[in-house]
This record gives sequence, C-alpha cells and structure tokens, in this order.
Amino acid sequence: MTSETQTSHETPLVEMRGIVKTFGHVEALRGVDFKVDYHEIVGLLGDNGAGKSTLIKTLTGVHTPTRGQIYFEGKPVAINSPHEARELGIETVYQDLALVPLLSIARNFWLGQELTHRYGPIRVLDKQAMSARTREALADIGINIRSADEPVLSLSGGERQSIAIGRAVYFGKKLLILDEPTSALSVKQTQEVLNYTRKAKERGLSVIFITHNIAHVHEVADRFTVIRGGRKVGDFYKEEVSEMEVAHMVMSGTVPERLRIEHPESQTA
Amino acid sequence: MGELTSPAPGGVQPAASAAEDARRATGLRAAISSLVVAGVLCLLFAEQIITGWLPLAERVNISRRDLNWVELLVIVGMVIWGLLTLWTAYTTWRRGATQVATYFADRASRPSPAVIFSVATLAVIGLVSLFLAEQTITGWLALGERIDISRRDINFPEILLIVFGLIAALVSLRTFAGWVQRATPALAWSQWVFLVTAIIGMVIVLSGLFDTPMAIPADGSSIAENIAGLLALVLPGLIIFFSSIAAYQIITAEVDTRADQVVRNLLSRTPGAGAIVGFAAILIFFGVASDLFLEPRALAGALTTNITRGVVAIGITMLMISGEFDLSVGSQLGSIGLFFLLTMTEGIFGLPPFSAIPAVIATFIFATVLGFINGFITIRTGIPSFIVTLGTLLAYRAIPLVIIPEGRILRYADYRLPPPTIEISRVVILIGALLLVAVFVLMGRRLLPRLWRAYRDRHENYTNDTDDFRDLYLFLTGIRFLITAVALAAVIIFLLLGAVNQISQLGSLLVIDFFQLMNGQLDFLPGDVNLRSGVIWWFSLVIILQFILTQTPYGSYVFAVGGNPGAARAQGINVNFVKVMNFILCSWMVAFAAIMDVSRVQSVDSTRGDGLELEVIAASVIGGSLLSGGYGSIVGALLGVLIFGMLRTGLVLIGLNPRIFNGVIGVIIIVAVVINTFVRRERR
Repeated sequence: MTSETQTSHETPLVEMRGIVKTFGHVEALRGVDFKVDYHEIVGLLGDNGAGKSTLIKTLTGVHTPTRGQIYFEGKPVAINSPHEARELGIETVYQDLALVPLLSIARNFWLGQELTHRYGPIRVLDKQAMSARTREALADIGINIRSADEPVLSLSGGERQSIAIGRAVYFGKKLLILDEPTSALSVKQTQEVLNYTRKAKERGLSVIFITHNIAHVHEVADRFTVIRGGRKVGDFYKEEVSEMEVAHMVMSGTVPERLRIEHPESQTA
Repeated sequence: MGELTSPAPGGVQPAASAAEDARRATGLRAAISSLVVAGVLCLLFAEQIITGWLPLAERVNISRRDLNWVELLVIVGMVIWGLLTLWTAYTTWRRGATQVATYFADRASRPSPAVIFSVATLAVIGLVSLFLAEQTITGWLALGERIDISRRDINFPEILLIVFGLIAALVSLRTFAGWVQRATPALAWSQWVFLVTAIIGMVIVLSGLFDTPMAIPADGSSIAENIAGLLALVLPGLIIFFSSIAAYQIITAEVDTRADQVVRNLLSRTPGAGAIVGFAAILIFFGVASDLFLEPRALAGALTTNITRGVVAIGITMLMISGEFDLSVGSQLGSIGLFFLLTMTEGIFGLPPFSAIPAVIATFIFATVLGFINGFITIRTGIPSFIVTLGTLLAYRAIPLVIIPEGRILRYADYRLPPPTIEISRVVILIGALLLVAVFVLMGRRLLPRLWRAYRDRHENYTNDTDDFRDLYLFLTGIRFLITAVALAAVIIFLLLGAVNQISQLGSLLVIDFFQLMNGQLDFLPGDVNLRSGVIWWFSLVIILQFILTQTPYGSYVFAVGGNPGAARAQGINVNFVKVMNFILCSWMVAFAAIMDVSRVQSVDSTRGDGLELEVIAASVIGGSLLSGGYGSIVGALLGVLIFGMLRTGLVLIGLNPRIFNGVIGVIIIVAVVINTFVRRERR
C-alpha cells in the first residue's frame, strides 16, 4: 500500500455497503460490501455471472441498488445515471465501448467536451488545439502517438485502451473503472495497459480493474476483491495471498483455511 | 516532398529493410520495361513516318521521296529519343541502379544515363507545354502567315489550355534547372510533373482510341487491314505515357516518398476516395469520348436534372453516418411537395391559402413531423430503421395517392393564381448588402495582411533562403495573394454596386418571383444553358452540411453515434437526440428538394419521388458512406450524385443505348465500394 499523509484519506474514496440488487426474482447481489481507497488499484475478480458487472453498474449509475448505500469521498450519494457518475469523477472504460474506431484520436479524446471557437451561436471545432493537447496529454502519461489525427482504427487494442485511460487521467477523474480491459489483448499489449494503469495511479487516481483472470491483474493490483454468486468471498491485500489461492477462490468461492481468521466477514453461511 | 535515401548532410542513412529492397527492385524492373517499351514505340513512330503509315499489304516500296522538313525533324527526333531510351534501359539493367540518389548527393559524380533521360524528358515536357500555349494563342498558323500574332476569339477551354501550358512549362523548366544545379527539391517536383504527364498521355491514347472508326478503311473491311492508321492515332499518346512513366519509375526507384503514395495517402483520408477517382475517370472518359460533353450546355443539364437527388442525398448521408436509414424519402418528397402546393393554393386544415414564405415555413413544420415520426418509432421500438421507414415509405405515399385523384396532375396554373412572390423592402436588402460588405472587408483585413506578409517574407529573405526552389515558392505566394485580393475586391465592388442600385429606388419594394428564386433558369447565362438556381441552393447546402459534419461538435456526435453508439453514450452524448435530429434533418432536406421540385415544374402528381430512396442511397454509398454507419462525407455524396448525372448525359452523348444506364450504375456502385474498402484497408 502507498503510505498516505493526508488525513482525508482515512476514509475510502468509494465505499459500498450492503448492496442488494434484484431483477424480479433473481438476486444478482446479495449484500455486498466493497470499497476502494485513494491511490489504490483494486482487482475485482469473479467468474462470469458472479455479479461483478452488476456491482460496478450500480456504482456507475446504470443500475440503482435495491438496498444498500454508496459513499463517495465519505459522503452518501445516490447515483441514478451514468451522467451523475461522471459528474462525481467516475470514469468507466468498457472494452468495446471506449472509443469510436473511425474517428480520429483527438476527436475521440474530446468527444462530448470538444474545444471550440465560438462565433455567436455557432461553435466551431478548434482542431489544432484539440490535436496538440491530445498529444501533450497522452505524452504526459507516456503514450506517444504518431499523430492525433489518425483514426483510432489504426491503433492496436492495447493502444486503444491506453488512450481511454489517458483520457480519464487528463480530465481529472478520481476513479477509473476498467471493465475486462485485457481479455482480448496479447501479452505485450496487456503489459502496456498495466503500465498505464500504474501511471494512472501515480497521477492520483484509484482504479477498479475488473477481470475473471487473476493473471491479468496480479502484477498491478494492491488488493483483490473476489465475488461469487452475488456475495463477496473476501478482500485480500496482495501480500496476503498467492496468485493460485485467488484463482482457486474465484472458481470455488471458498476461502483458504489460513486466511479465515483475518477475514471473518467472508465466512458466509 | 520526396526525400532522398542518400546520406543527407548531417543525416544518417537508415538501414534498408528487405521489403524496401524488394520494392526498389520492383521499381527498377518497372523502369527498365517502361523504357524498353517507350524506346521501341519511338523507333516504330519514326519508321512509320518514313514508310508513310501504309497498310501492311501495300508496304512494297518502303522508302518515301516526298518527306518534308517537319517530317524529317520528327524522324530524327524520334530516332534520337528512341535510342536514348533504349540505351538508358540497357545501362540501368547492367548497373542495377538508376544512381539518381548519387547524382544529387555527390556533386562530383557524373550523371548516369538514367539521370540524363529524366532531365531530357523534363526539358521536352517544358518545351512542348510552352509550344502548346504559344500555338494556342497564335492559332496554329503556318509560319508565313504569323504576322498578326494575337487572336481575339480565344474561348474558355483555350484559355485553360494556355494557362495550364504556361504553368506546366514554368514548373518543368524550373525543375529542369533544379536537376542541373543538383538541388534535391527537383526530385519531388519532377515526380509530380511526370505523374501528371503520364495521365495526360493516357488521355491522349484514350481519345485516339475513340477515333478508331475513322481509321477503318473506306471499303468497310476491318481495322486489322489498317494497323498503321490505328498506330497513327495512339502512338503519340503511348510515347508520352511510357516515356513519363519510365522517368517516373527511374526517379522513384530510389526515393522514400513516392508521389503516388502521397496521392494514395491523401485519398485514404477522404471517405469519398472511390467517388473522387470515379468522378475524375468518368469526366475524362466522356470528355474524351464526346466533344459535346464538356460543353456548358451538357454540364448544366447534368447538374440541373439532379438537384432533387443531390439535396436529398445530403440528408440521407447525414442519417447514414449516424447509423440509420430512411427509405421513405421518395414518398416524403411526394407528400411534402403536395403539402407545399396545397398550402399555397387551396389552404390546408381549413386555413386560407398562404403566401410563399408562410407556406415554406408550414412545409418545413410538416417535414419535421414526418421525420420525427420516423425517428421516434425507430428509437422507441428499437426496430431497425430499415423496417420502420419501409413502413412509412408505403404510409407516406398514401397521402398523395388519396388526395390526388388517380392519374391526375395537380398544377399550380390550374388555380389561376398569380405566381407566388416575395416582397422585400429595399432597405433590408441595402442593409444586408452592407453587412456582407462589412463581413468581406473584415475577412480581407484578416486574410490579406497574412498573405502579403508571407510574400514579403519570402521576398526579403530571398537571398538567404535556403530552399532550392525559393523562386517558385516566391512566385506562388505572390499569385496566391493577388488572386485572393482580386476576388475579394470583386465581391465587395459587386455588393457595393448592388447597394447603390438599391438606394436610387429605396421607396419601392423588391418583388421576387418565388419559383424563379428557388429553381428558376439563371437568366444571365446563354439561353441554351439550362442551369437553374436550385443548383446554387444545392451546392450551398452541401457546403453548409459538410461544414457542420467536419467542423462542429455536432458533426463529431453524428460520427460517434453511427460508429459506436455505446462509446458515444459513455461520453455523455444523447444518442437518441442525435438520431431523431438527423431523421428530421433528412426530412428538411427532402422538404428543400420538394419545394425546388414544385418550383421547377409547378405541379405534383401521386408518383413524384418514386424510387428516389434507392438512387440517393446508391449515390451516398458511391460517395464513401458506410451502410453500417460511422463513416462518410457530404462532398462524397455530391460526387456520387454527379457521377449519376454525368453517366446519364454521357451515355446518350456517346450514342449508347441509355437503357444500359442502370447496368452501368450497378457496376459503378460495386467498383466504388471495392475502391473505398481497399483504400481504407490500405491505411491501416
């Protein structure tokens, strides 16, 4: 863990308490507690259908929880739409939904908040400034692009994720949620994305890294939260557990004997 | 601009990769084969002059006695050129390199034959261009008659030819000088000269081929009897083509940035690459094939008959980029046109008839409703817009079918009403004109000093300008300033004259015939040129919507919504709003087209606009729009419609059965989409 000096960081950045979400008779989440500290990368692990997407969607305003409370920077909040989540500083990078492939990098970067010249009621794109500042912003976290006017299409999968991360960092977001960012990437590209995730943390962001594969996140995460069947299996700092143990928990949902005393809340009936 | 791979001063030569080597080898082979072909063609040309272009069977008595001195000159020139070309091919083949790079890098090196050939080609191109311009001015007179040099009756194409000839001569000769001084920019310049010359050569070959019927012997036997006649038609073009291609291959075999690669890169950035290529090809093809095609009359016809298609294609393209379709545009055209006519004649919903401007406003409101219905159903139900608008295609068509009795045509003239007019106070026009003057003056104040400074800087720094082509750049910046200044001054003077004209009759109202304004004949043109004001509206709309699409945030949203709705939504864009807005925008374009259509024919019938939807979608696709959304351009759609129009006119002019039109269009759609896909793949 990074050592914190500011007192405000005693409280977590995000805390979700007792989140229950039902869709009709289906209980997708059965009372999950989840938190993310400042400057922390949390790996949110779980098999398909474990409820990790539902949990994150309640945080990003796609779903509203049936029961439970979300605290952001210590204050209770109700997040009713993705827009409100963005207002709070929560940026989600979906694997397929991050960028528009046929638009240029710069236009993607500024999409929805374009830089413009104003001529009365008419707003005209300031393309030069958009290109220049995109290049600067990306170079700032170590992403060097040939030209910001190239279409995103010409980038590799890893580069695309990186640009989306760079965008979140640039716009001063507080929490970055990466939804399965590496599942379709080669080993080398995965490494790139992990590097930029680390860079994002250095810039002061907290990151939730959602994946079903511990191997993708073990290197960068500070802490893991394992979810199975709508319940939390447990929270573990990286030093406490081995990669094998986490992988086993994701599959079986049982916590190894030696960890049970430290995490009594994970011993669910 | 072309860069040399040879060690530039202070530069490091990059290690050539295997792929690079392979590319060079291919380039070299292409250069050698082009050289051989060009050389053989030259010798053939000389031989044919000597023997007098005789058919094979008659070539008994080979040598001619009656050669005049011009023929002798051409024979000598061709033999020299052919031998030089073949010699170049031989030496290049033996050495395995053109040594162009060495020539520029090492001042002490002797020029290789390949270099000499390139320089000679440049000189010939320059001299011929100059000769062409001069002859056009003096009217191709024999030497003895050239007393009164200047002609008075030079027409527009000739002026173009003169200007083009002079510019070509200037650039080629300057580039020639650059080669002599071993200034590297010459390499880049000559690439372009050769590329353009090769295209011209191809056009000459094409035009020769179209004249082949003339080469068929009078006794009606086949062209095989008169190979010499055919040769006489195509040889000059072929020699020009292969010589310039050979020179082009020579100089590009060793440079990094090939001119054609630059063109390809530029094209790959434009969605309408296929349309641009197709447009140029069709224009050249028909221009060569028929003398009538490039006449203002034919071009105006091709434009005027496509106003409706052109304007609707703008809307459909916008909609397609945002990922939706509207199959109902044809039916909308019918019902909106009917609505517009009825508002002015009978009155709608029990209201009295409107005059022109309120009728236009009501029509646009009606169009908004139609577009909104399409958009709303699509968004709310999630049914593909293809199906939704297939339904409204039938539903909207029912409106004119019900209202207009079967087979009848509803005419404005039948109502015995005076033509609709717009009355504007001349004060308003005066103020408008003065405002425009102010805008242009402001524009000039911002633009002209900048251009002048660019010119002055070049002029002042001329002596220590390190660029080798400083003189050419100086000339071009000067010309740019002059043209801008003259154009601005002309517009301002025109507006001021108009304003002064208004002052003299300030008390009266200006009465404009509405039909004339929307789609009337432009009467300042000659009578047989059927260009209508609708064309001006059409092109203005193209410019405005292309601007919105490429230069405003809304344009970005349109691309994003079509390209990846999820990402657009994640960035806070209201996807549904953009889509519905584009449906409405599309209907507005249809309304525009309908009003212009009614203004032209002053009638509506129940089948107006049938089949329009597929034509405009085809035009849009030719123009580079993706059916799946997220990509496209308004200018591309314009070119797509123009291709339609040129084909319709051109096929008739070259005497083909116009019924094959649909077949040709079908082929063109497929070819255009293949080119677009290919170009897009190229850029990855």
